[in-house]
Amino acid sequence: MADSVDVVIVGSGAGGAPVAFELARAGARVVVLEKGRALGPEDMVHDEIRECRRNLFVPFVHDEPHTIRVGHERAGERTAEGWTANVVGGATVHYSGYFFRMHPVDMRLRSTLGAIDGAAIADWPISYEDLEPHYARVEREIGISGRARAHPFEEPRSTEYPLPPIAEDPIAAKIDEAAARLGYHTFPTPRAILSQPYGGRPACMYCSLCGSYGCEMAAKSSMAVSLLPAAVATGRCEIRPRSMAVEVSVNPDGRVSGVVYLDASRQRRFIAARCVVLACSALESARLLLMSRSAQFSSGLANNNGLVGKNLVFSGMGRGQALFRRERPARPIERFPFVQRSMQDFYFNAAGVEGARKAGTILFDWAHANPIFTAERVANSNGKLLWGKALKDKLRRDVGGARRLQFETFSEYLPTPGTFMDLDPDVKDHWGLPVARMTEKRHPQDYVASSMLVDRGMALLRELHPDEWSVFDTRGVTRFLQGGTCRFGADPGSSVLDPWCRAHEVPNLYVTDGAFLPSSGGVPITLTILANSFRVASHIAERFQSREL
Amino acid sequence: MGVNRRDFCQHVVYIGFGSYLALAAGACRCRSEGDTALALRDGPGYLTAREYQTLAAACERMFPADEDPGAIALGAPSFVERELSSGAFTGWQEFFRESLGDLDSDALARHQKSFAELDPAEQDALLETWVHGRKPRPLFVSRLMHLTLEGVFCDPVHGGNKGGAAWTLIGFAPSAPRPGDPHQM
Repeated sequence: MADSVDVVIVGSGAGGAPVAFELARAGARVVVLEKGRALGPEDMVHDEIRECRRNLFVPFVHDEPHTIRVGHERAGERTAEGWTANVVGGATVHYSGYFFRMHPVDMRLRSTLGAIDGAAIADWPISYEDLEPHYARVEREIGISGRARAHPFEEPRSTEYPLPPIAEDPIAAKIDEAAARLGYHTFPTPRAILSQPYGGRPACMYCSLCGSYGCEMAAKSSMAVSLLPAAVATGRCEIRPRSMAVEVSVNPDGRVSGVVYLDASRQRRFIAARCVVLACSALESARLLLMSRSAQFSSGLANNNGLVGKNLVFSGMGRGQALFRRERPARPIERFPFVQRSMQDFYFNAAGVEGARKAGTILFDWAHANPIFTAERVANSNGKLLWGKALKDKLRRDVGGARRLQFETFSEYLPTPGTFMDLDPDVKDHWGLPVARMTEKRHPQDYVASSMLVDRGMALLRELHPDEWSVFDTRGVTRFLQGGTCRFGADPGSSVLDPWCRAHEVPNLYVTDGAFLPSSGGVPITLTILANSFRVASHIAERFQSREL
Repeated sequence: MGVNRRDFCQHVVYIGFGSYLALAAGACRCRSEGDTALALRDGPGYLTAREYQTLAAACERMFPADEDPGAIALGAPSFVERELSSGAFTGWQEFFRESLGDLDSDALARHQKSFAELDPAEQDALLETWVHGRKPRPLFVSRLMHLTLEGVFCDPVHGGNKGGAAWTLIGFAPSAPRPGDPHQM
């Protein structure tokens, strides 16, 4: 029996779920291929071993490695870096749900900053104003908690948040006071966590294990509890877990005809579609294109200009921490697991602050409560392994007898000619498929931006008079946040996707994860991926209704 | 995932000899710590009794008993052996067996005693040479620490962290629902 639908979507996370939701509601028959499993509330039991350390949500590196190298010479080393998820709902299942919008300057980086030597920056083909209604839509559809107009550097907003901010630790007020003394402006971090019941889902119960975990309450606004069930409820959307897409097939006319995938029993199957949407992460969508070779596309689908995989960006990251000693609590329970404060005073400054014009966001939160992770961090601090009584003493003193406030910065990761993904020539995954290889050569300006943000974050921490403080990292990278492998643009010579995220070279192929992004922005990009996916989905729906597809 | 069947069988044959010789060479006078470790073992695993005692003694050095319980009392060595047996860590099973045998051989060569029979200070000094010595083998100690800390700080449902005592030490309170809870949704 022929398996044929209107739309096949590869990937069920932030990029894929809005398309499934919009198109199923518009009357299209949709199948979502997801290589991970479907998990339910019974899987969300706050077990650090099972959920965090035995990879409930991400692939095992020996099954499905990525490889990474710095510079061109060496072979890629196997790594789990660059995976975002392996589960129905994608990384939204185990994310922390930091839901910032990008700022207008992020879409106009080239015209704002001018040319930067060694950086392949470009303006977006759309503006912040084009995306704004879709940002508002996402916040409303899945339930985002936050406070509008809470600081002078906020991006323009047409709407309030649908829910007030989630509860914050009393230290948030102290952070606000310290920020005011320094002339900074802190505000409640917008979160994809329900502060009140919303859309038939209950409010957060503040369990203290949020990021890296699934939410048994469905209070975390993941795709698995919001858009995906709504899409399935139309009766026109089917989600196929444990279905690994291996090739997008092409007709002689150059249009895609469907997707070849391996099902749970590793049987090779084909599903025909009038339109194919890739949304399985910037690295994996580009990998699927490069694996899909045909007579018309000998170097990979939609890659006749050789740009698939180029302009890869992640998110620049710096970290700092402060310790506040306390009596060892008789009854150790944290009532307020979230600090809920962020700062964007240094998002953009035309004159530059210490050489950084475009920087990003500083986000404050308590250190993650995971006990094994915490013990490992203490054992491995200062670059040498600490063990024995010295380790126990330090754990009692610095963890049991203190709280650790930390900040993380999200800053521009400039695209460079030396940072890209391609297929590893040597390494295959357990399906025998070539894996995605990352090659990285960062732009020095990235470190100027993250160092400046870390300085500001440390200034604020010190203003709180902690017992100890230290910088963790000024040159870090967050590879959960990835984009750029299929940059969108108006010019088919310099981009892979058109402004509607349709492949320039293939009229019925779209990519809706972070791959379209010409710039990383200075925020976690999840909300932007969702908003853009809604924007593209409405366009695809129109093309269906006018019978163009 | 894990060790494939062919490798596994080869390892068993190879290791069988090594552990037999090691066992024959040492007069196994178990100290009370070793007895406790064996008593807390979840039945025989893939290690010989002697290898298990070496493992337990090494785990205890990573996280020793003081005013709070140490790795053995928390059930960590048994957790470590079970995780190694599960195949969750590709290649670690064989690596641990070899390393534990070598650690014991080093103890015999230096002190004419098994590793488990050494004083804690002697055990620490020996492990220290594995990290910083002339021919360092830091990978074993870092992997040992990886699994010991899992066994010490995991949810008690996994057999380690008995009574949640390690969580008390760092002021951690578990969240509901917990693994093994009947689920009500």
